[in-house]
Amino acid sequence: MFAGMSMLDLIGMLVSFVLTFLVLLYVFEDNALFRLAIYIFIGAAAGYAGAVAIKDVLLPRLFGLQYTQMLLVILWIVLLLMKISPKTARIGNPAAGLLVGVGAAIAIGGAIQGTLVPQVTSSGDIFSPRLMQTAGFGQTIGYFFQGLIVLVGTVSSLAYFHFGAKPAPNQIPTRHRIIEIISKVGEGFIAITFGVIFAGIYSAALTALIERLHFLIETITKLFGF
Amino acid sequence: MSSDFNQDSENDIPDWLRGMEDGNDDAEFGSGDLFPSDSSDQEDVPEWLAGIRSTESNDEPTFMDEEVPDKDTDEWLESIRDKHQAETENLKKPRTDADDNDDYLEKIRKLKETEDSEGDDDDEEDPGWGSVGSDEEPQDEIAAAWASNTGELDSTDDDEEDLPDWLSGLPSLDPVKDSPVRRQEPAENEDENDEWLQTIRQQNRGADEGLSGEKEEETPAEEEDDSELPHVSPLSDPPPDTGSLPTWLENLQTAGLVLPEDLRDEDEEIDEGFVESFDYRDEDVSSLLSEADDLPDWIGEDVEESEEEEEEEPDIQRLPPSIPQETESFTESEFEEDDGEDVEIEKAELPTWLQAMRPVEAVTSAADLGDEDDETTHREQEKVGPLSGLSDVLPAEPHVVHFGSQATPTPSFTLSDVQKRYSKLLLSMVEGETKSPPAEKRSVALPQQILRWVIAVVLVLVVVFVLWFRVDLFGMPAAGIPPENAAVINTVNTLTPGQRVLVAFEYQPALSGEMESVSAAIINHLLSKQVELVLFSSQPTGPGLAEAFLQQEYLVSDYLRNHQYVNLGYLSGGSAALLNFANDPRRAMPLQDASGANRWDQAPLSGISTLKDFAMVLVITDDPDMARSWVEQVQPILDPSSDGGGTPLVMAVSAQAEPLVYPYYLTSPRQVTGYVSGLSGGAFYESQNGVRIVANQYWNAYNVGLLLTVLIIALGVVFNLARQTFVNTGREKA
Repeated sequence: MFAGMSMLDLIGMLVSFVLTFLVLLYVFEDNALFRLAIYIFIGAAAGYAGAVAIKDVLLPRLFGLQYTQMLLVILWIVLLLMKISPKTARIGNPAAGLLVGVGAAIAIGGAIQGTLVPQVTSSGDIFSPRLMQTAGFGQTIGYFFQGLIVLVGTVSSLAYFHFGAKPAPNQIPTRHRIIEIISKVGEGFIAITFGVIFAGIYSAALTALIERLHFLIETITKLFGF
Repeated sequence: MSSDFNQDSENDIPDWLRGMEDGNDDAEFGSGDLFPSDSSDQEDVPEWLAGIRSTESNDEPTFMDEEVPDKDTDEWLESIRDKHQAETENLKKPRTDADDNDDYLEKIRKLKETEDSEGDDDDEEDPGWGSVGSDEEPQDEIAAAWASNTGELDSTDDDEEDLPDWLSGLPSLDPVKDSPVRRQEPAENEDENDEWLQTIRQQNRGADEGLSGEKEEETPAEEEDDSELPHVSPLSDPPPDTGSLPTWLENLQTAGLVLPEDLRDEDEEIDEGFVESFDYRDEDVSSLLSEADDLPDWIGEDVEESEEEEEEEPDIQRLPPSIPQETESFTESEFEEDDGEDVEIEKAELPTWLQAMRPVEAVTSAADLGDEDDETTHREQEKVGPLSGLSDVLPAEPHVVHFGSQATPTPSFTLSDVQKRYSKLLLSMVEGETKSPPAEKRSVALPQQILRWVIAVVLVLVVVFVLWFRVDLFGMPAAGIPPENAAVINTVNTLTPGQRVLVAFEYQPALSGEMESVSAAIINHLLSKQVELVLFSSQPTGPGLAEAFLQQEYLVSDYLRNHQYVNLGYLSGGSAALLNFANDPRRAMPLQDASGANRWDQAPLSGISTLKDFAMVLVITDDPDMARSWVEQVQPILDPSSDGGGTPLVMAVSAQAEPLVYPYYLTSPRQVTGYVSGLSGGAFYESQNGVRIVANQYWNAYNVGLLLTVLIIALGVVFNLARQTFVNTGREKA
């Protein structure tokens, strides 16, 4: 009945079965069994992550360094540990500032180089005459409409987040009428975007549910020989 | 230094008392105002000594020497002065004869000159006073000159007959004894002082010799200086019996003639030490007042009365300074009863110098004396130590030491009702911010709850039914494969056996079911191409998920049995680490095998210096931000010329991340060469490759679930529209 399965695999399968069942009990709202499963997951994930961080990062990186580098690293670690207590948090500010500064610089540089410039460039290339010439008539029409949708969607979505308004005496400040109309169009694009994202999230959740139900069926089949 | 209290035949009042009564009531002991320095006579003597002499020469008359204006003197003090006028007149006469001849420094200088003329002719340097005052003289030479000078003068103890009597009483020429206080020693009228001064010196010497004992033999020179110094006895120690010497003067002579050792080195230190030790002597005054018989009458009467009170209340003065009750009763009653006409003088109007004379207050902190009328403070309880809780005990901690900052009195405000209401409101708002609200149990209406249960049960039952019975309603997706999927297939098809492919597992365990269904087809395709897999993750759980994924039954093939893939493990650091890893993977993730050899020099990693050396990079992620980080940080390194000719970057993403990844695929040149998204993408990929691994097992259930969801949403919309129409119709009818 359990051909090809070791005892460890069998235990793992049973534990997984029970925990999956406990999680599915959330359909009856939050309950103790569901919380028990969640606590086990969180604890196991945190413990595993900590063990991996120590085993794969801290120990090999720390003891693989030369003494001078190790001292520098230890100093940096101590400075970061100073952030634990509010009284000594100021001592750790240089180390934390370096981390935050470097992280921000890398993120901004990557965003400009990898997202902003390429996206703006590619959005403009849709209307490029060179692209029109190389394509056929039907494809050119397709590129045109595609570019038009991208243009309208981008401009109108940006207009939706334009909150500037001229103050008028004894009146509630309102945006310019043109901005208001464009923002309404952008609101439609944003709603469609959120709908797509929601559909993707639901699709992912449905896939996860199907995978778990498939696992339960497979387990029952193996256990009871159906 | 204590010679300011020295015997002055002019009167029984020490000079420091005279100085205060001259109007310097506010002056503190040891303050520089009492002995202002004068640097005009620096050529022969040290600065501080010169200042002393000049000050003495211009010494202002004391209240004993001349009449003090009534406006500057307290009335009670005037009465005391009148009462003892006879005594003071007798004492004033020698003072007038003193003039400038009482300068003992002049005598010391003369003595020095005499000795120099009789002594060595080849004096290399003048170790006298002028050398000390020279700024150019090195400090060690100064010290040597000083030591030699003091040694010479110490030797004069053997020739006491040649010295004036008053100078013979000097223990040594130690700067301690040459402190500015010395200037007030009377040079004249030595007839009266000789005897008792000799007695003091002999007793001091005898006492010190007795104390020093064996040390004299070992270090005679040093011990000689020590023996010359008067013995510092604690306040509680009984003063030695000096015979005819007044006890209070004896205490001054014996207890106050010592400076710290380090004060003998430099003039400045001596001055500072003088101030400190003078303050210290301020405490000794209390012990002096215990001997009323030896005090001047105007002070002695006060003390006698206090002693009478002590008999009634024994052990009052032995109480610790932390118990100020008896202190108050002693000090206030003493002075107020003494001078009947001054009874109305308020406590706060006591002269400062008189306050300083109060025996217990001299060692009691001002804080204890603050609330004099408060009975609770008088019987203060011990707060620390084993005697905690008991009253009238010795304090475990010194009362004059205040740890931390003292509490500052807060000004009292008069708040109106409105202000009080606002303050309470503000306080409640602040407290409300710090308190976390209790978790409220979300209550859902029963119909909605039932509807949830119905939807969940229906969905689960339908999916289980399809999975259990392997219902094939929709078939495999054949036509209409998305172009992004086709781009991935084409990219993998270009790979040749033996090429290195970096696979990044960047998803969480919660979505492993979806991600495995998405990426299984791609991994299977890569294995079929006989490429070398290098696993990597910037998530702590990534390496474990990668190992578990590759051990799935549907992926176990002959290739995995015969080839070893490389799992680089976990790389911490987020985007910055990704950038570092893309530029220099060897340095970012150093690897060593069991023998200690570098794994990057072994197959399949040999020749890899940057990520551009891989044939393809596959990122499996459920997080759109992680996908964006790979595009922003790694893709420019994979394709540095930005012409699309670099290492292809393909992705297997969750369905929820697809909307944010798709723009990177649309760019030209493509930042993401291709991607597979969600279960549908995996199913398309499998069907395109002609395999049924994971996605196609879920394909029918997935489609049934989506269809059921659409139906439920549609039913909900219809129900709400119908209900709204029904409600509107009812309103119209009504």
